[in-house]
Amino acid sequence: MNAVRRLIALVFCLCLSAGAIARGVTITNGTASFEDAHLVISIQASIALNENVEEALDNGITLFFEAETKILRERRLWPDTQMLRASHRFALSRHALSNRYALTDLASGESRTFKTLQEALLVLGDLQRVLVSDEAVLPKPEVYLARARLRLITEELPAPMRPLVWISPSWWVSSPWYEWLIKR
Amino acid sequence: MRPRLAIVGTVGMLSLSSLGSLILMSAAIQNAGRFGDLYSLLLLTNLLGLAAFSGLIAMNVRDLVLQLRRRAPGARLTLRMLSIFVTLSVLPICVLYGFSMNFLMRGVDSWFDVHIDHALSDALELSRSALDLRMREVLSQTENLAEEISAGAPQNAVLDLGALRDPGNSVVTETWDPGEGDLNLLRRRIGAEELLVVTVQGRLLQSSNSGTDLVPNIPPAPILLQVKQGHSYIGLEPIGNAGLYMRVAVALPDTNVDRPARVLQALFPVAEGMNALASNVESAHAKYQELVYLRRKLKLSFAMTLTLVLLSSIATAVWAAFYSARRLTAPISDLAAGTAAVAAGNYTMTLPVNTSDDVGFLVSSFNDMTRRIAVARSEVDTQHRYVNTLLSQLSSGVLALDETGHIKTLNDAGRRILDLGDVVITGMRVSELAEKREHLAPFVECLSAHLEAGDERWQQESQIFIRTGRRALMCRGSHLPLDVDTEAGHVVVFDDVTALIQGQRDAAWSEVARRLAHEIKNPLTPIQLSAERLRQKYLSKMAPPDAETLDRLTTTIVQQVETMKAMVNTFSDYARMPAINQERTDLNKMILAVVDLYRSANPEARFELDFATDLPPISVDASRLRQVFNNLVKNALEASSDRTKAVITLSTRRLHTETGDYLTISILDRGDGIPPEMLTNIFEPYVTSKTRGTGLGLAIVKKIIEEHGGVVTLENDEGGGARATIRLPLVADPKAQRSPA
Repeated sequence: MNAVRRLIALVFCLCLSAGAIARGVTITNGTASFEDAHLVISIQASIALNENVEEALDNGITLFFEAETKILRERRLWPDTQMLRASHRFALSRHALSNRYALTDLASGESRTFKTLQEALLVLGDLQRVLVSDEAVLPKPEVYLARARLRLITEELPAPMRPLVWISPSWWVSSPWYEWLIKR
Repeated sequence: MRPRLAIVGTVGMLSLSSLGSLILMSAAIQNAGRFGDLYSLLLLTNLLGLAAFSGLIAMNVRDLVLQLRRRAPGARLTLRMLSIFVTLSVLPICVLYGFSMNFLMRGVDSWFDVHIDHALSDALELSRSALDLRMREVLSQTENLAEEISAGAPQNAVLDLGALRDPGNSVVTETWDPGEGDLNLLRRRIGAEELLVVTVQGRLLQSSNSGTDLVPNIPPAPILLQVKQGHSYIGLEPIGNAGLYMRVAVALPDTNVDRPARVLQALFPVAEGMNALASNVESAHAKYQELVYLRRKLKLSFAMTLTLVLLSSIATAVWAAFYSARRLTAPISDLAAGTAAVAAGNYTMTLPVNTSDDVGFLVSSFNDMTRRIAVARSEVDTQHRYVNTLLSQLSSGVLALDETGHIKTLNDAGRRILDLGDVVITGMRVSELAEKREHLAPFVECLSAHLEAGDERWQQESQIFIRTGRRALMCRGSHLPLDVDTEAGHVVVFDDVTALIQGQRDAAWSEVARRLAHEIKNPLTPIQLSAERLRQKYLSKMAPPDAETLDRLTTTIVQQVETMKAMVNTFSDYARMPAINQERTDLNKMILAVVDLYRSANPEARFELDFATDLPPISVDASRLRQVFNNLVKNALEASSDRTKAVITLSTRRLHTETGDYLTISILDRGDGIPPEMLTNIFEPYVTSKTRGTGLGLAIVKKIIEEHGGVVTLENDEGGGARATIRLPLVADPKAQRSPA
């Protein structure tokens, strides 16, 4: 029965702190360029993990991040048309033996290690070429809306953590959609 | 049955899906790999299932509370059975939950042991120490190599391997730029997998790699910065999937100050065996650390799952308790409701027999009982209706009383005769009847006297006064003896004999008038002739005083004889009315003509006419009916104390009743009205409030109207004065309907 009491108390405390998301992810810049008949999208993000997330990382929990990019054609009085969409996933973990943080691009399998978490987050935030596509997909002349966000994938967290994630806003680590226009 | 099956099916499906999702959620908790992706969905499904069950239970509770409040049959029994079922099912579940939770928490705690934790940490530290020793070696090697390179080897020193192998060779005095081949030799000598020379800005100058990976692993900026600041770097790094590597970066001193500072980096692989062991230790430590971190969350998840199981079980058990209690008490509730219905007089109630057990037998017996009662009741009702029909068809009033004098029933004719209107008298004492309807006091006195006297059979005439005047009732009473099938009481049969008595009186008066006319009229003519003869023979012969006396006396005799003749003629007319001569007549016109006649004679009097415009012509004897209106208008004028202020209101109406269509003519005066004691026999001969006249006027009116099949009434108006009302049937032949309703 103690567990039930603890559960109720925990839920109560978590509900109280629902509005307090200490830190988070913000996309600071998004660029689109056309190189060799290709559209290339890069974004820069500022990532600051809160204590709960850092604690989980330092305790061996692998964190998965997703950089999601969309190119939309805006329409009046009608939902926008999605022209392109790309998603890049990254895994951030801590290597206990070497006391280093490992950042792995899940698409390419490329992995890099960092002595500090800040270094790893700096590299994670510098997302070059997150979307590369044939520029012919976007007909000229037109103005397109680019949207990008970077978020922690809570669905990849271990199952025992998921009920907690549902009710704890400190785990809702996601940038708002960053938008900018692309002229063709 | 179908809704019940649908409910049970729905709840069964809900329970099964809830159970299935609980099992899957439990599996997901124990092993994140299995159904881990569905965990959130499963949790949501279970919460929704729980909410659905809670809603069902809430509805059941609400229904039960409402039933308890309105004291519905079987509600309390349902509550009692529900309490038992819930106690029997929920209590063990809660006990089991408590123990399970306790065991679970202890079980989870038992996974973690401080010794294991220390052992794993020590193993990790041991691995680090082992690697540290090797790392110090490779650092020393790399630093020596850097010094060698910096010491300055001749351009062709690459080939002088002996000089390179001898660090103490002082021949080399300038900074040496190794070529790719030189670097390969140096790399092989120190056993590195990769050897690089880069500037502190990270630009690659030379590289040597033993593997197929042609992309050199440039040291990151922080390492270059550290080396630039004069601190060599040595670190253990997992590189890709190749395992652990030792990265060493040292400054490459240069005597040529114009050139950018250089860094020598060497990557040393960890020995394969050690690499595997270290990886195992690291992996086990990481896993254990993750478990320790997830310990509280794991317990929370287990507790949540178990609590969900508990709540789902309780919800299912409570709902099942509701369902079972309702099913068990339903026949009893039905029986209670059926009994209440039978008690309330509903004998058509039939209960559904759903079971073949004792309760089913009880319900069948109840149905048989109600069926028999219904049949018996139906027979009684039929008999009762038959008797009522008989009684209602009687023209006599029939009043049934019980032994204590309470009224049990009174037929329609009785209500009409007693002028009861809508007053409910059933169950009332006879004495209370006089309190309710004062005009029945003589009737009640007559009944009470015989009831108190205990007369077995009696007969007495009584009179009551109703709106239409005095009514003569012939009452006959009998005492009903106590019998096996009937209770003791009294029955009183009474008839309205007013018309009969009136008829007898009318006949008697007609006979009197006829005889009077016959006996008196015969000697009147000789008397008149004799008086005239006396006057003619002796008047001229007598002295003036005597002659004057004779003339006055004979004149008086002749005048009185004439008056008597007129009176006898009137009597004769009353006794022997001629046959009526029908003709189509517009009554409005006829009344207007009569009124005009009296209006010219009495210009001060005010006649108010209110004629209906939809009066059809009616077949009447116009001269006789005109006589009627003459009489009534004359009476109305005479009834007004001051003729100059007389107000006479005449109105005609067409009246539609169940018995047919009628014309009504109303003549209302504003005089003093009729003395109450004269109301009963105002239409009888010689009944008059006037000092003059024969007293036959209203009697003749009544006779003429009755010969036309109509009715005439005279009553005092509530606003003062008297109102005469004539009602004539609207039929082709007035004789066809002699007595309207």
